[in-house]
Amino acid sequence: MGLSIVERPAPEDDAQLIAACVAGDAAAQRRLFRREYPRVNATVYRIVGSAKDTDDLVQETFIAVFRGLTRFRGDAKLSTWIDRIAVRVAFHHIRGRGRPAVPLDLVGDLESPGGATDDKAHARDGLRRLYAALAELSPEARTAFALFAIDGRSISEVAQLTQTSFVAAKCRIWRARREVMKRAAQDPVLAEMVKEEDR
Amino acid sequence: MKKIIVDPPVSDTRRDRVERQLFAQLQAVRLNDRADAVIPPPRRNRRAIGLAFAACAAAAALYFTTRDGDHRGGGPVASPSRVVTPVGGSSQVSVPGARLDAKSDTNFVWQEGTDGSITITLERGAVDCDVDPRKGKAPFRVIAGDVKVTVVGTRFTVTRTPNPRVDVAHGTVKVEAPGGVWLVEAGQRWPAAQTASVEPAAEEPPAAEEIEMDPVQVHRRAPAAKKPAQVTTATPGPAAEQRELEERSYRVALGLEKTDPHAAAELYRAIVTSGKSNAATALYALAELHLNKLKNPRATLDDLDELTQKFPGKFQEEAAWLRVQSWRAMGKRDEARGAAADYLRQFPHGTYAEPAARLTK
Repeated sequence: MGLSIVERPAPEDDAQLIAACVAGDAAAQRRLFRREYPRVNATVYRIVGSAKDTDDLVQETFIAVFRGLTRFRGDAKLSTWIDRIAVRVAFHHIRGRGRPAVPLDLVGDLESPGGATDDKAHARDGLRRLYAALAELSPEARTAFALFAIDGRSISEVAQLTQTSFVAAKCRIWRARREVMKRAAQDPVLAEMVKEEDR
Repeated sequence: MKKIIVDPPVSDTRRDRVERQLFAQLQAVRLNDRADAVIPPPRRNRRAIGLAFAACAAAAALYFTTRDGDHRGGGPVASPSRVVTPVGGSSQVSVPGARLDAKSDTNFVWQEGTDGSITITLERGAVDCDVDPRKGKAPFRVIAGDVKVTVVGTRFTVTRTPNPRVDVAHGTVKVEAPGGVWLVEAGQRWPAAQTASVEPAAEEPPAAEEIEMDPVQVHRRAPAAKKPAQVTTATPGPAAEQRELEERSYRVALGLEKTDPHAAAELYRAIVTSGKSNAATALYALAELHLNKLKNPRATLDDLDELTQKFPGKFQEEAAWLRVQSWRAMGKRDEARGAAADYLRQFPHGTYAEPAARLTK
């Protein structure tokens, strides 16, 4: 079998893409949406924990993105700027709802590694308890914790996305973690989800 | 702490749906030249943002688009107008015949129909509507998901998030939702309680004011005095509730007939459409209303035909006499005489036998 060289399309330059989006090029906007959607979707979902709300918030995020692109100065990466908007939208959402009930639609969204029904149900139960615990936190702490512990961001990224200092972000995460662990001490299912990694 | 695994919902269908809705919204925004986007300013700290919201809530942070031109002419409307307020912001919007106060984190579209009707589609948040009486005007509606609220001339708030809710400050609104039609009066809320919790609610008896969760059934007094009032034979608790609802609804219906017969007609029609147990009563009431208040005897005859067809045996005598009156109101003497003869054949000793006999002579 012979080898052939396939020229991959070069990743589209952010500046070009932004320029096209600002000019009202719907195709460019769709390209940007599809490129950024998976990450934005995941981030928002991990903060709010509700698939239904996530869809609305993702839309809201991208509307804000497309309407705000003219003001994008390029100080940060485009993806970071978009993430910041997504985090802000999600944050305002959970703050606006006060202390929300645990989203019902967590059930059914979760993928369980084992795939067995019991495992899935167990994992769902754990997630529900986790988001019940998060619902008790302040929106700031919840957002920081979700970005750090669930979305896998570093503390620096959390600080950048929530537009706070590194120390403030760290404090929020720490406080949130303390509350979650306190709750986990009385809840074995939650404890299993958030237990410390074996070293 | 280990990373907690929370996999987001991922599917092409979901993404396509979001994409479709997003670009439809963007398209709607593009249609409005006066779009003035506002993204809430970056948060520096909580204190600062609190002060900023306090200072700027009324002025900024509003993303409000509206079509050009004067809406008050009542002419056809080409495109809807979208109003979006960010968290912490609010906005007052005037639409023909109403003032809307969009609350924080609200997203809605309003559109004026060619008939002058106003339809607000609430996608998110809450909107407080202060609506002028709609006497004779096309309806003012707020749609929040499956729930449709039709205004009778009132002040009320519709909330979409997390679940549709209607709070009525003055007047009455009609709420249509899957499962029924409700009349919600001043001071009431629909539904009375929201359940969003995963945990099952405690088994507590509803408070008295939560009766409003039940469908309000407009019960009109039986037109002929000799007819006994329909009293439900259910268990004492529900029966008392039902009676209270009927009495309350009766007052609403009577009040509406006096102040806004068009709205009353619409409410009666809604009850007929809902197929509730008092639908026949509502249909007869509608027939009377068309004749006596709205001066539309042709509509009365149509109502009576519908009554006979849908509810055979209900209000037979009253309907027969109302038919006579309708023909007379239309100036059709021969038809009135024929209707009177029909009445006499069916009810030779009926309440209206004497005047019917006079007519046939």
